[in-house]
Amino acid sequence: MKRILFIIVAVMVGGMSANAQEGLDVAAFFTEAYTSNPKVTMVSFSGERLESRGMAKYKSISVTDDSALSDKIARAVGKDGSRSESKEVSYKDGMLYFGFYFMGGTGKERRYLLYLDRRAVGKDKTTLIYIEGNLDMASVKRLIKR
Amino acid sequence: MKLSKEELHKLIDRYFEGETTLEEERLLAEVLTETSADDSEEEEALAVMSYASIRADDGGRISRRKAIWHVGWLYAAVSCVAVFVAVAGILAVLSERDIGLSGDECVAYVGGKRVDSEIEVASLIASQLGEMSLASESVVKEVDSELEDFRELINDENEDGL
Repeated sequence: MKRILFIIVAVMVGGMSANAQEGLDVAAFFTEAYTSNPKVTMVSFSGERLESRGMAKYKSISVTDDSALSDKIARAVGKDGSRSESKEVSYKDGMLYFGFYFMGGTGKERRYLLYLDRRAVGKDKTTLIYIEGNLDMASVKRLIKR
Repeated sequence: MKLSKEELHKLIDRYFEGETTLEEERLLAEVLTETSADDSEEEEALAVMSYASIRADDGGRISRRKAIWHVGWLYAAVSCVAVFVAVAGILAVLSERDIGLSGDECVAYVGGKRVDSEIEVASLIASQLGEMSLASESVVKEVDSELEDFRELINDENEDGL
């Protein structure tokens, strides 16, 4: 009886932990909640047609002239960025200007965030990109530079 | 020996209250195993009697109260797992509701308008990656510039040292 209860509790805790690791704060911005916002551009691309480009999933949100929403995204990126496995960031005037984060994962489940907030250079536009795929950091950088 | 439904349930009640004789318990076990348990009370009685008999076979003594407690805990544990699985399943379905997670998808929303053309979506992606590229290059240039300042400083110090 004790063994059964221990196994059940272990499975529940393990399952909850795994679920928590997959969650990103920025995930809230890739939902239907923003598709009808006139100040937002959202892209979602997944499946075989994207895999030929080396990625499994590509999601992005771009916000123009909406500082409140841009601030929310910036906070979420800050939180996720603090948990990243590696990152390259640049600040301007005390604000996060550019961020490139590896959020972990292996194989096809490697996840990256790219963030650009041009309010720091006088343009009210913020872009957040989520990329998932069997790519290392160097490959993602080459993807950006194509 | 067959019992009517009412007689069976009365016997089950007396069993859980610890008022049955050994003969009555044997009868109850016989009736429950020979007929399929039709309701939750019959199932529970069968489960407790089975558990108690397993523990008895193991050589361990177990009182009826303890058997009821153990079976109760087992039902509670199984219920918790079922609830957990159900909640996890619901959360998984809800999390899948964000755009583009399920299967093949190629869609964009520009200013609230849906765009399904793969060419237009690919063009948007290229534009966004291009913006990132420019920003990334400017960061690299800044880093190079700062390192250059340090190189010059170190070189000046080396020359002074000579």
